[in-house]
Amino acid sequence: MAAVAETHAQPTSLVRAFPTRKPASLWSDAWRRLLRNRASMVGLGIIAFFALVALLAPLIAPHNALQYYAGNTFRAPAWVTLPNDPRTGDWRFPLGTDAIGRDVLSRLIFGTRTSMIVGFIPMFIIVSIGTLIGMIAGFAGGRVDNLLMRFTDVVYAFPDLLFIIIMMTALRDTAIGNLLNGLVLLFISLSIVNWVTVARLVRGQVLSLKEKEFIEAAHMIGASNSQIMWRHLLPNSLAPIIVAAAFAVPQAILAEAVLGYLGLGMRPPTDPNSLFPTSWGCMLLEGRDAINAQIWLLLSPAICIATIMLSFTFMGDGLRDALDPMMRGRS
Amino acid sequence: MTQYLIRRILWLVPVLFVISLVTFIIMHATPGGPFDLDPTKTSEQIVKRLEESFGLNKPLFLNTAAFQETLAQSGNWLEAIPQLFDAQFENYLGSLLRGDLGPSYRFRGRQVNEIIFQPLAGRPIWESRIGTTAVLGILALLYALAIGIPLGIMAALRQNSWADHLCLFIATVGYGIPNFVLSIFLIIILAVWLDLVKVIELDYWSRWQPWVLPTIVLGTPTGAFLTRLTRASMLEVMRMDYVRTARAKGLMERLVVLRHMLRNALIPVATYVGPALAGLVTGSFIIESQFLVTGIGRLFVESISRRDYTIIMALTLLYALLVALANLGVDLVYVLLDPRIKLGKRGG
Repeated sequence: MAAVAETHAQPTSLVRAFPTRKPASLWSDAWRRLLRNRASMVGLGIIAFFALVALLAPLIAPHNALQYYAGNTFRAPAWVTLPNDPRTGDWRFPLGTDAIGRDVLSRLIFGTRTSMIVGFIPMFIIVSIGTLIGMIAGFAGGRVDNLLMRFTDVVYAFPDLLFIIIMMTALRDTAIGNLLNGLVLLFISLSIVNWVTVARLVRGQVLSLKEKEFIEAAHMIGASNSQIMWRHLLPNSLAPIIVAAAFAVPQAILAEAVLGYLGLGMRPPTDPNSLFPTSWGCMLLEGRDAINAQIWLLLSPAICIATIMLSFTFMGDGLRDALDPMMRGRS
Repeated sequence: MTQYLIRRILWLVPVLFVISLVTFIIMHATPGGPFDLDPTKTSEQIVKRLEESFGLNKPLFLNTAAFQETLAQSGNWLEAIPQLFDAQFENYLGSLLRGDLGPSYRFRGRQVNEIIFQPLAGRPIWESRIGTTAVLGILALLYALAIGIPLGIMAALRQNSWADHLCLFIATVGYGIPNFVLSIFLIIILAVWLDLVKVIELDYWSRWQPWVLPTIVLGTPTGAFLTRLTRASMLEVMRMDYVRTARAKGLMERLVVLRHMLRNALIPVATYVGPALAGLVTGSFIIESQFLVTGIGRLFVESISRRDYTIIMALTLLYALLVALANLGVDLVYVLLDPRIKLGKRGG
């Protein structure tokens, strides 16, 4: 009995001595490379922070973003003391107040929400449409490909921001333009112009993958076209899609800021319970008009936009390097 | 090659057609018209007259009423069919083919051609609106090239040194910060806090100082991108066999860099110049509005809020044409610079 136990014990101890490591997958490799990239981790941290602020806005913000306080117009930031001036800083309003006495910090916090949602929702639409069309074009080839690609060429030729501006101005007063204070129209316009980049990328990827042996093998064992597309082609084109998505988000946030600054962005709601009471773009516009009265009205959204754009750029760069080491350093 | 070129140029026609159609449809889907805020709009009748004089009372695409009327009167199909196309969109396209962008709805009595292309009486051509934008774009491009290429080369030659890391960091920051936010920072620092510069300049042509800020702001992201592009392409070229050969035969390092590396490394940079200029010209509208530059970008922003349809149409088409030509230019430059590339071959 004892002998048997002994012979059994040996292999287990061997296993313990040489633990078989799970083979590192492409994704865990990429993740490790991303973790090593300090700049992109800082970027990711900042993005996570902003996302958290956006989610918890009502808990963090000291005031309601639309609540105005009489006698507190254009109050300076809290660290500024102006003797004998009603506009002297007050810790109740850390970044001061705006033209009608609303708390700038609270507005900034709620504006984060709008920017985040404007960044992420169009990104999902863009990626879904772009992937679908790119896959179909690349996989079907021939006439379908030609037709779809000519279509994307036309959309691609349209100067994006101009198209969004035209859409926002023209359809502002229609039913769609009024949904969610104009945010829905912004999502739609952003999605219409930006899916082409993803579509072209995915098509290129599919075209080159299509000729690979493993796809041939899948055809051989009788996999259907849709199986090949969703099981084999999609997972293998995921890396460039993820990178494109990472760059689509800041583009959308930027578009919102530009539109807001031109006065074509979302319409500031009057309902104090509104989920999206203001946006960084709207704040820029208000700040521009008050540049001599209260500079933080302009400076604080500008800093936020610059920070989030930089975070996304660094994170996107890191993602690209991590997912495709061959592309390292290329722009 | 020639065949490929012709095909690419012909392809521009349907692209521009679709763009004008889409812009036309979107603009006419909007509630309200160009005369809503017009100071002369005193009665319904005047608005009607205005619309008549601009042909805005006609149907958008098919004038079936005029068609049926002519058909009923003369019974002649050949006479009636042109009437069918006497509609706003076709009339616009017709005048577009003759090179006429139509009248402006808000600058009463002035043609869009004149507003965009003609300078004030007695001034040189580059002082026209499009000229101003082009000058700003070219200045910004020169600035971007002057910054980007040397920085990129320097970073690549000292790969992984602190100078390289610093360059790359600055380039990423410059590329990541949107230019209109950068200009907000510069305005606050230089004009509001330090009181060094004037932001509102009404005369751009008598002095050079007003151009500095807009040029820097507009060109910085492009310069940052060029730095990254130059660096990446240099790093790639540095690993090439012909560079090793050049070194092996004892060529001076300076000549290796200048003759063998730079020449090849700058190919991607050269191809990017065209699209970069197109991007600067089409992307300057917010900068022009910020610094009150009288270019087409500012005109576009102002026309949007004035609903000056013909100007919006004209500028959208102009911008699209510019971008398309720039992309076409890329292919040409590629062929000129790299004899290995042949265009128009499948799979190439």
